[in-house]
Amino acid sequence: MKLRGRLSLGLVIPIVAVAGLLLGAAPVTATAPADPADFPAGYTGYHTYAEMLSQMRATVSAHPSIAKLYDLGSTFQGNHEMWALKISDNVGRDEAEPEVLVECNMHAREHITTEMCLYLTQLLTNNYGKAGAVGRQVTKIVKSTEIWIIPMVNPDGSMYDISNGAFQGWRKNRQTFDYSNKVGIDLNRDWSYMWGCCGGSSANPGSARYRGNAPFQATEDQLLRNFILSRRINGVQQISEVLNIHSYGEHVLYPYGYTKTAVPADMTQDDHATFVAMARQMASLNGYHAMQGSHMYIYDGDFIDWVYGDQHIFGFTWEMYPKWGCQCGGFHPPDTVLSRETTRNRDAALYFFAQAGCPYGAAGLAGKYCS
Amino acid sequence: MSLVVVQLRLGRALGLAALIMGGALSVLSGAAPARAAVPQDFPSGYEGYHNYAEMVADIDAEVAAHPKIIKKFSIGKSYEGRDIWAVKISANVNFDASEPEVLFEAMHHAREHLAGEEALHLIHLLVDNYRSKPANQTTDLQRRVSAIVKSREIFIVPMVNPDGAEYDISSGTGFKDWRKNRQPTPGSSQIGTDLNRNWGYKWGCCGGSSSKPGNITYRGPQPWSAPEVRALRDFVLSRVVNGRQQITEAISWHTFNEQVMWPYGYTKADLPRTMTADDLAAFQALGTQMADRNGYTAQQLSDLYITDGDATDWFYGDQRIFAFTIEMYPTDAVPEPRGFYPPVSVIDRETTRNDDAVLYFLEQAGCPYAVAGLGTTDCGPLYDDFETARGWTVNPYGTDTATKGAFQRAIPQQSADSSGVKQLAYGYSGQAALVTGAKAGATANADDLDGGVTSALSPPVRLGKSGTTGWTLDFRYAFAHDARSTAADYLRVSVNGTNVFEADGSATNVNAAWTEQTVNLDAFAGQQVHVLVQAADGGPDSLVEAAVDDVRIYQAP
Repeated sequence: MKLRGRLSLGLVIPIVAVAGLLLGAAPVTATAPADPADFPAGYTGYHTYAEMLSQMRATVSAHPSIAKLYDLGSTFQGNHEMWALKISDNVGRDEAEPEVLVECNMHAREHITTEMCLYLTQLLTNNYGKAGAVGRQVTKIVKSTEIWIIPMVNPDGSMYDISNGAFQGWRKNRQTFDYSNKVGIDLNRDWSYMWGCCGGSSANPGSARYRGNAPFQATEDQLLRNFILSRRINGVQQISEVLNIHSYGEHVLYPYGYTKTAVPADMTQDDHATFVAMARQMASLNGYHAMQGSHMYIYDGDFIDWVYGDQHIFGFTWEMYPKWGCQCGGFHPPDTVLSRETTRNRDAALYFFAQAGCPYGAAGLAGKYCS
Repeated sequence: MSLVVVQLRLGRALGLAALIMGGALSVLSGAAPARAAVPQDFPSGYEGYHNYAEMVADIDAEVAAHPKIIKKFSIGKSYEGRDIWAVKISANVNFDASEPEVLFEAMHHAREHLAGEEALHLIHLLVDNYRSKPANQTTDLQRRVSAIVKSREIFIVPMVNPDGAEYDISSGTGFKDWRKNRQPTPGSSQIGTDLNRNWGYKWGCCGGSSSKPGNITYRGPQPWSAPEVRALRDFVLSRVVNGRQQITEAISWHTFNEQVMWPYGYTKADLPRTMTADDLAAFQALGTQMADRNGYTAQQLSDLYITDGDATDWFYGDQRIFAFTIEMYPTDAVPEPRGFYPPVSVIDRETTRNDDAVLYFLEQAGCPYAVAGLGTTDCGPLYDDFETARGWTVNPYGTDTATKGAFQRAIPQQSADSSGVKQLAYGYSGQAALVTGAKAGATANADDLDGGVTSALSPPVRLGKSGTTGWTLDFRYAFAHDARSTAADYLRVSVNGTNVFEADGSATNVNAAWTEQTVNLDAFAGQQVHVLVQAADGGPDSLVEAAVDDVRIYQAP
């Protein structure tokens, strides 16, 4: 594990250890199943956990000055790590630059999102220092921003979804309980902000939207939360934007999910204006549809509600290809569309990264907030 | 109501069933009713299931305890004369509020007793967890249910096929594995029609039912031949108020195989002309969301096997209700007949399992399109794809002068002259549109618009509060004419008397093509508006065809 980086801040490891002890989330390595060798036929263009890790390592080898791999900790099963790739110039140093987090595959079956995250790692590393419009944009972003990309938040679930040579349609992690023989917590319903408040998740361990018995019961959400909290330096959250990539439906969603109210008491008018402006701009660049998350249906305890409600970070959810109603494979489109459907998001992603220094600028509020 | 039940049961026992039922049903069915089953409890070990009388008693107890939010009524009689009971659940239940309506019905099929238990479970879920005052809503479930009961009108028909259900347990010692109703087939010694193959939409079209009276999927001698199916149809039709179907969503509960299925059953095509793309998106998204909540599999009905003449196909195909068939526990890993007769011990678990999916479904009833991301455009004050009647009036003021080719809601046939297509086959979405003279006719100039003006008026809708913005009228139109046309020919759209769009004729050939038109309606914010569509062949006779489809009024964010 020589290539593993560790956060130089020294915050992540202790917090993970403490959380693990407190919540009794001891890894059960002994019972962890071996990962499948590959995706089912017709889908082998997708990356397994091992293929994802090997590509990330190759990226670091090819671009050691701007890419560094971090291990955020072990998943519930204990046979996978949550890997983050940091991309920035002077990557080994924690510079005073705005930070952006992109994470994928929180839901196991949404494999296309892992491909999206991997695409972004390639986009940002391969075009750094290059000529041309994209090269110039990427270079500017990499020089001025610290970008964290986590392609597989839920590797246990992801690999379970492709076990036995077929798709299992699995959404949650693979956490087991002493109070139920059901398996798994919905990692996007387990966050503490308005957890279980509003009928937007389930208290039933058998549900695909099981929120857990308590917020942050899921090991993977603890890891992700602890990483984000570790980015508070001198009391100031360094991360200004988060992208939570899911499938499917082709939407750009902004908070909140827990209420249909557009601007409740726990959101400012200016923040709302910024969310709307950024979402619309991204949607105009990738052809998705921008809306408040709850306009689909109410969900509570989701990651982005916490990202904004608790950390005041501008967080968005993308729902990738395909659209509803398209008989295009749903959660499992064939691998032939991957290149098209990841490249499609290039300009929206570059726009998102470029806003990191002043998200309010999107709503014309730079003068008020970003001087 | 229990008195009536007792009388009916006495009547049957005394062999007076035919008298009680009177002549009408006998005339319709063309046969004397068979001897009705003597009521029995479920066989030993299965007593925890509800037979007909127990179901009625359970409902009556709920009505007696909660008369403000649940009422019971009969939607008609079964072949053997049993009432087919329905309940309505809603706050202020005796008032027909302007709220989205949802229908749950169970036991088209006699032996699927677990589906009947699901319906009774839903009654208890919604009634027992309702609390009028927020202060008394102490659990998440009570808050959620109370919000639903206050904002929805929910109809539940727990036993569509009471005759078959009673017959299935009539031996007193075991099950008869019965599926159909108990209606004799004229000219045959066989008993029973498969109620879920007897509905009038694409009845018997596609090899998804049997013409043989002895078959378990016998579709009946003609659509609607079964009184139980007619009763449920007539109830659904009675929910058309001011020209618009009030029921937005429905679930047909069946057993078994743990599936959430959307239409159609009659075709394997995902998106036939009989469905719009927006509706498919909503079906797929709603089905997936429900399946995630109960752990079933989401799929199209025909993915199981082709069915024709089923209830769900009619609910959607004819009434445009977002209707699902749900097959409950167990999976097909449990072989028949055991699959239809799970033990009493699983009833609570396997009905409760569906609670989150059902409550979610009820919450989406105000805008089933939302989950697919189509809520803004498709859930505004007006959205009409013209696939079913939604309250437009042709010649609303009695001033139309057209002598031929008046507007109608219909499936247009393609017609063309030597210069090209003047009327496009099908609407822009789905198959129907608001069109002048839908028929192609022998020549292009037959069945076009002639002699003057034809007009059609939308139902009234309100555009929010005055001063609000983003109000948008969006529609597709096709307007075609030949070179004899003049500016006296036109397609015109007006809102409360103000012209907002007009296409005029000219002495140049114009072929038909669907075009989108968007108009800002902020000037009408806060007002009640009608959209008036007019077309005219105003000058000397020329070939004029007009069509309008997918009319939306919504507020852009």
